[in-house]
Amino acid sequence: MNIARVLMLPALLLGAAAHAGDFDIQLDARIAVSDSRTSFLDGGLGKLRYGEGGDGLKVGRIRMAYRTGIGEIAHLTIDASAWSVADTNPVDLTEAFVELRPVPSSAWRSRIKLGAFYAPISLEHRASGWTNPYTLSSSALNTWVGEELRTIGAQYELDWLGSRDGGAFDLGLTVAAYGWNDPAGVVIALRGFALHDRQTPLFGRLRTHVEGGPESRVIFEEIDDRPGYYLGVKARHAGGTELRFLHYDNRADPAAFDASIQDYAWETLFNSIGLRHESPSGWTLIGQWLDGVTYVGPGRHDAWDFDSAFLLVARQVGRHRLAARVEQFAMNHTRTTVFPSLSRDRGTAWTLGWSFEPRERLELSAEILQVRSDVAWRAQLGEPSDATEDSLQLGVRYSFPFSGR
Amino acid sequence: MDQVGLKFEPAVLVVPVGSQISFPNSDSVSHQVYSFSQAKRFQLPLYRGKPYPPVQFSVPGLVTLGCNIHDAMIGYIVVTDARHFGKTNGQGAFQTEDLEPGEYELLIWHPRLRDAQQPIRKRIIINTDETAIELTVDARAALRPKRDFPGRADWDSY
Repeated sequence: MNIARVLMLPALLLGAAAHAGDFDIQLDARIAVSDSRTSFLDGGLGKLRYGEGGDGLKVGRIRMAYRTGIGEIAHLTIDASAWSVADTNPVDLTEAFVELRPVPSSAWRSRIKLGAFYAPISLEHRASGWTNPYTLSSSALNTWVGEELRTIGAQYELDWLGSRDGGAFDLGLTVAAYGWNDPAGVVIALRGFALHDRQTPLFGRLRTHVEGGPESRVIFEEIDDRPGYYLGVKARHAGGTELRFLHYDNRADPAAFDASIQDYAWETLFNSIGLRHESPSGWTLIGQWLDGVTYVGPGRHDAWDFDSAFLLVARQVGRHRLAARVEQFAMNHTRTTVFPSLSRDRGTAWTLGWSFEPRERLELSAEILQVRSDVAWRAQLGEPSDATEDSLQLGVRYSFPFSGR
Repeated sequence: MDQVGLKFEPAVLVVPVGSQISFPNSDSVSHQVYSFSQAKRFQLPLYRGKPYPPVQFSVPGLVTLGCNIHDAMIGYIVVTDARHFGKTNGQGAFQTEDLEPGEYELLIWHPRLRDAQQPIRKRIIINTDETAIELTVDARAALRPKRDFPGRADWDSY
């Protein structure tokens, strides 16, 4: 079943929203230099977006976002981006949703999101368009979220706004039911982790190396007609600390197969914990941890464990922002019908990021990243399984916001 | 009370009971201002510019303002029935007129008070011909740490 039908709703509402809202157009250009292996996007097993043969001037992202109010309590957000001329669709959606956000009449507030959007996992991606303002390449953990996860369904949030009621804490509960994400897990299982900023578009594919060679995988598809869910809690202290926990289970039937995309439903479950602390003196600390498993095949005959954690420290000094991140990631084919399995990924990475806003709407950035990894599949490409990949990226981001009224 | 750069400006107002306050939005994005405080419940549906008449504040107390689109925005209106009141300047001073000599109770409110409903209370005596008094209050225990976080105001709000 295609997600196009689901996304008709926001499109219809867009038509209904006769009054124009706010537009945001962002151009993001890069210069990349890397000694990386051939990028997974080009069929290799390099972990970076711009790998071997990819040096030079690049399109980071061309983003077109639209947001408008619908009546008094709802708003519509549509986020479309172009990432590369090699993509399935030159411009494609990353998110499209309607949010119902009634004005709170007490400290209890309910919010409902319908459409396609991100689950509240990443504490890095704070800027609009699920953009990471700290580094050009996201952590392996959140890169995976951008690659394989999207909530296509409904999410309900219940917040207790203590900070609006004389207190120091806001607390929140999030539940969601969704579909069209049954292949989630296929890329982590067959390729492992990666570090970049490309988000898989809703109607696009993720080019990657899987068993046998390069392939383009469909990520957002309903295969077994079984909805998944997640359940999250969060606490935010007025002193600048936020803590989040999320349990995710796409409840896929790993025996279900969809011939049209040549893929099974991957039953993927994980727990995710995140902590962010910001100090008045300009320091930000973000730590996240995710641990999960994905199963495929009748009787869950194959299983892969995966986990990743990172720690990011950032410092805002005037218009400059400096960030340093260290992380680890691992994926292991723990139950297999193929022996010996070539599906294994282990690694660590460090990243240094700098960004500077010389004036409003303009951001210059630079990033140095090194990732060391041991990926068993590389043997199939005739490469050593161990690799150390370094990359330097310079970026320019400019946004043109304009209002329709 | 204006809205500029995704902040209420000024972030704190102290006004006498019965005051009317308008909430123009000078930002290029829409805001949706609300309060569910006991002293005043109201909301202004999504707007830019200055489309609404002023809001009347008839009950004394603390009114905490938020924007339903931008959770980081927070503003305070202290509605008071006191005869003498004021908002302190950067030096911590305020002025009032026609103050008779005598004993007064001074209530000090600050947005970082741990218990926003419990102002710090001090008894002060104003002597004849006194034009200025100086008062030092150690409020460290009563206040939360200062919050002026890094990052841009529009983060975490979409």
